[in-house]
Amino acid sequence: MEKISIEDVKHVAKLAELDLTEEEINKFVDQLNIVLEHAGKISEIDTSGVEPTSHAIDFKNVFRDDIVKKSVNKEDALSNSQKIVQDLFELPLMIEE
Amino acid sequence: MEKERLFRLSAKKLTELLSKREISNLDIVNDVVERTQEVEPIVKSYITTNMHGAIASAKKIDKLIYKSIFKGNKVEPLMGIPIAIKDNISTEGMHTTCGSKILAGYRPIYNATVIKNLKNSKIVIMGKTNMDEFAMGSSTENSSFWSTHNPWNLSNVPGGSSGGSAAAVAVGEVILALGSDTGGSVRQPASLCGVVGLKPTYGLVSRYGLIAFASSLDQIGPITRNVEDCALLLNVIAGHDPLDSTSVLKEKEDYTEYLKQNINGLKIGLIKELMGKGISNSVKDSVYKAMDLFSSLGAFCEEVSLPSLKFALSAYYIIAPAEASSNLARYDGIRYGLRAKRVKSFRSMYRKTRSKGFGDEVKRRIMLGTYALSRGYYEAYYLQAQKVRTLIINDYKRVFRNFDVLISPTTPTVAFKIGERSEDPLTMYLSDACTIPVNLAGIPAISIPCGVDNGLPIGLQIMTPHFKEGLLIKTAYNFEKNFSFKLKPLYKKYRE
Amino acid sequence: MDFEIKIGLETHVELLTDSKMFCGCSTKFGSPPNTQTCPICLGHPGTLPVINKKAINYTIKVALALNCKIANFTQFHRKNYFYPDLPKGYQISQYDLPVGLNGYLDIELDGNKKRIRISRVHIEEDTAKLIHFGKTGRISEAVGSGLDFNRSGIPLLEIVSAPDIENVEQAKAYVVLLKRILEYLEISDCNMEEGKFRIDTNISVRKKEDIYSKVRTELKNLNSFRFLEKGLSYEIKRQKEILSKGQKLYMETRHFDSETMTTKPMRVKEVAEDYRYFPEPDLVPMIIDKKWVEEIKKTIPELPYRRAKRIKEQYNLPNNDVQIITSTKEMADFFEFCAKTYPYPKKISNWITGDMLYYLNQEQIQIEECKIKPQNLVEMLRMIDKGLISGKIAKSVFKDMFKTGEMPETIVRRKGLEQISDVEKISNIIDEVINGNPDVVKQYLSGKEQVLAFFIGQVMKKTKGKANPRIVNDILKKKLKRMSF
Ligand SMILES: [Zn+2]
Repeated sequence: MEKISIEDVKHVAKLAELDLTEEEINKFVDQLNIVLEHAGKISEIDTSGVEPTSHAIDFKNVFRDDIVKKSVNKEDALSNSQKIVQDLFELPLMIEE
Repeated sequence: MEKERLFRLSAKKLTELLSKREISNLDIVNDVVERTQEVEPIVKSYITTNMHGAIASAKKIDKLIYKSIFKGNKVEPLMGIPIAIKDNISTEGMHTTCGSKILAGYRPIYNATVIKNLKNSKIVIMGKTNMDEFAMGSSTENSSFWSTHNPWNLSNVPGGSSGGSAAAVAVGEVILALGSDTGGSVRQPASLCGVVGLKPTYGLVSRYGLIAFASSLDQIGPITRNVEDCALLLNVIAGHDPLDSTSVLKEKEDYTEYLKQNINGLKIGLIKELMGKGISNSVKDSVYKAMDLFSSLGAFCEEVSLPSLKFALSAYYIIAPAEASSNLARYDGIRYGLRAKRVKSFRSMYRKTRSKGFGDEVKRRIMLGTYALSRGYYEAYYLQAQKVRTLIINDYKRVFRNFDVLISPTTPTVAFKIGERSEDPLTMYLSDACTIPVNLAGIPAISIPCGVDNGLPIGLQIMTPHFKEGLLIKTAYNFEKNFSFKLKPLYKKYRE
Repeated sequence: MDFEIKIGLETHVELLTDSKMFCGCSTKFGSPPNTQTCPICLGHPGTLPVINKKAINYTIKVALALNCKIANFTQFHRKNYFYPDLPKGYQISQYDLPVGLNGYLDIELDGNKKRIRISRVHIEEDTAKLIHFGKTGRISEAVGSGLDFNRSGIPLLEIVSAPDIENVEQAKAYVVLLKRILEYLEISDCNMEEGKFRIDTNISVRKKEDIYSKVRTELKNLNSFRFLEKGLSYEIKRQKEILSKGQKLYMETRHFDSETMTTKPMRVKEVAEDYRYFPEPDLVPMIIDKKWVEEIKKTIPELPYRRAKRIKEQYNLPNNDVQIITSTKEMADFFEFCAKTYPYPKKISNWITGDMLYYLNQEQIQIEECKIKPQNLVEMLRMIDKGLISGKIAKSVFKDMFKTGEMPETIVRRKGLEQISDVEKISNIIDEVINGNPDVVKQYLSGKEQVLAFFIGQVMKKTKGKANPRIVNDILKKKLKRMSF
């Protein structure tokens, strides 16, 4: 498999909303390459005709009925937030920098 | 002469004493609290303790026990028994951090389903135990608070990620504990601390309220000092939950029923692939001796090969980080947990909060998982890993046609030194090589002590097909009964 | 210069379930902020979703009504992206295995039919509501923002058309018909003002010869029929102008500004978004078998275009009447309810498309909200037929019925509006009028027959309009004829 580059790491950090220092970026390039080299071994296996499995147990059709349950009270909903304004979760400026 | 300390007894024994009214629930809780005060500064199992709450509960339960006995009823199993909860299980109103700075100060507004079950059974919660941040790790060194120490040797790790729970049980800070197991996080620390740890079949125990690491692999499991207590605790936490779509609709079982059965004629397979390179000689020795013991009890033992297990670790290190990268996207600073100050816009709030709140290992896995899911790599990594998972499941299905149970070491080595592997992710990842295939296949497995090397315990892993926890408990119990193992940390004083 | 225009529409519809898509919170609109939330729809750590079955039933229902194939195997995927209104950092949505695939909708414009293909119908969860503080409430002028999670997790249906739409008129016809069908299916109230029916569009204009151009613009915030029309027209014009100047278009997302009635760029897409879709591990796949599909089929009412065709043939009504009557399910129900008990459909239709529509428009209400029930109208029509009231009186009776909801008989009796058909009584009044106006009688007798209207008017005046005009006419003519001898 191809090696992960500094640019890749920067791009992925952006997708994951992480601010990485130069030092962290360099460290991650090395470490991710080591891990991916190991993980990349799976590409050697012939899986043609093999279906992917997302759960080891074969579950199907699990539903709930359309019944309203009591919501939590507003105070509880807001209780863990650092910033509240007019019963809303306050946000910083909604501009894309 | 020292009085007989209650913290050393099993849950079963404590229930007997409660029933005879030789002791009160408060006696039990007080003794466990006292033990915690003695050893906690050195072992550091807990992130949060609930001593006052526990004492208050014990007083209430004493009244219930009195009434119950007065009416001629028995004391219900595990009633009043102290338990420690891994800090990634949601406890209403009680600090729950997942070992992460990003959740510092977070107090859940709801209880996990397992916590509701414990409360219904009047089990007493002593506190929340230390863990690798978001359960990512095998040593509890990745906790963003502090490292927990192995009670057998304080300079060694207790394993992880449920290291706090395993250490607390081993050292007698508590009688029972809950951990969570995504790639071995219950069994591996149980093995390194010389206690019993069980990972149930995926879907047997509700995940509702377990803070997600890798949703398709996570299961909550008991950590106890013996197999019987493990069966009793599993009785309480197993069962269908309509709040978890991956919870199985299945009639409740009494797992203690299986303790009465013998293993005469049982077919046991030793997994060849988990006895090779990387497994220390002392561990191999102990496992072979375990095989001899099983044979002497009337079981047929044989080596068996599951070739696809070679790729289990690789598949796991794609699937688990991929799911984790998505599960950890909710930590954005808005509704709970850490929020970075002085930010210019919502994007910088995200980036600063997450960069400050997450530790190195968590960032590493988020990066790995995001990469594996990103455009152009999804098929080669994630989809391929899910196909490899199919091959692993098929391998287990195939061997379970000829074998009732499988065995292997739980960990390649005994507990390593604190700091020894923390800068080398891959070596750290390899310490889960024996436990990971089980999570990918969704089958149940238990780790029980099977030896000691250089003063550190060795664990034996037993595996059975889906939902055969009864068989697992029967096999483990028969081994335990016939193997003499003394949990030394219970008798250590930890004084200079 | 010849241009080719391709428009595709993406419609989001909030479903009319009682509880949310994955938790038990109520979907009621307009409650105080953050009062309809729970750990699940707030995305608290450790919570898990469970699928609301009714939402899946509704999705199948819509997919069937839009002639889609129903997937036998379908599942949810996670769509990963960061935005504050998305509490989990991913939206539980559908990806390559939606409930409905490859359907179509036939629209009609000036008698011409056009088939718009439907690419997919899928189900997902709605986001929380962002509220911007500031004079205008707009994001660009906001001094701060906050989040209300009441909307978070409400079932949201997405209907995606193929880019088969060629102009604004077709786009409008598509949306009108789609909305009407959804209302007929009773799966959403489609209230556009409350954001329960939202339209996003993809527009690509290219020179005819430029066959490889794949540039398209996404246009958002078209939250009324008028804005849809204005926004699309503006965008098509803008793109044509750019191409005419020989300049290039690029991929972008634009926002419709309802104040200036223009479109403005939101962001240029340098790299296409990477949503990192993967199967939602907290949910399990759904198998929709034949039996399930058949059960849902039974719940689908006759759809508007079918019904229009049948009503036209069965009741022999002109196109114009059919169009108005079938514009809503409730109006068509009203008509057919009357037609069941009253044998002259055209007469019913005249009143519905005439006075009824007039008052509904005046009051800005829907037929189901008005006080007149079908049996009231039928009763009134019967009274006209029996000669109990005149057509003119009926109009005022109708107006009263609209206001009060009383039965026509009650109104007629209370106001004493019964028509006078008593020949003797009318004859006496006519005698009074003839005797009181000898001059006019002379004019009539001298051949000026137009003055007959004067006599009729006088009789009506004396009876306050209640005299049966046919009887008045007959008797008057007879009496005057007798006088000429
Ligand atoms: Zn909710």
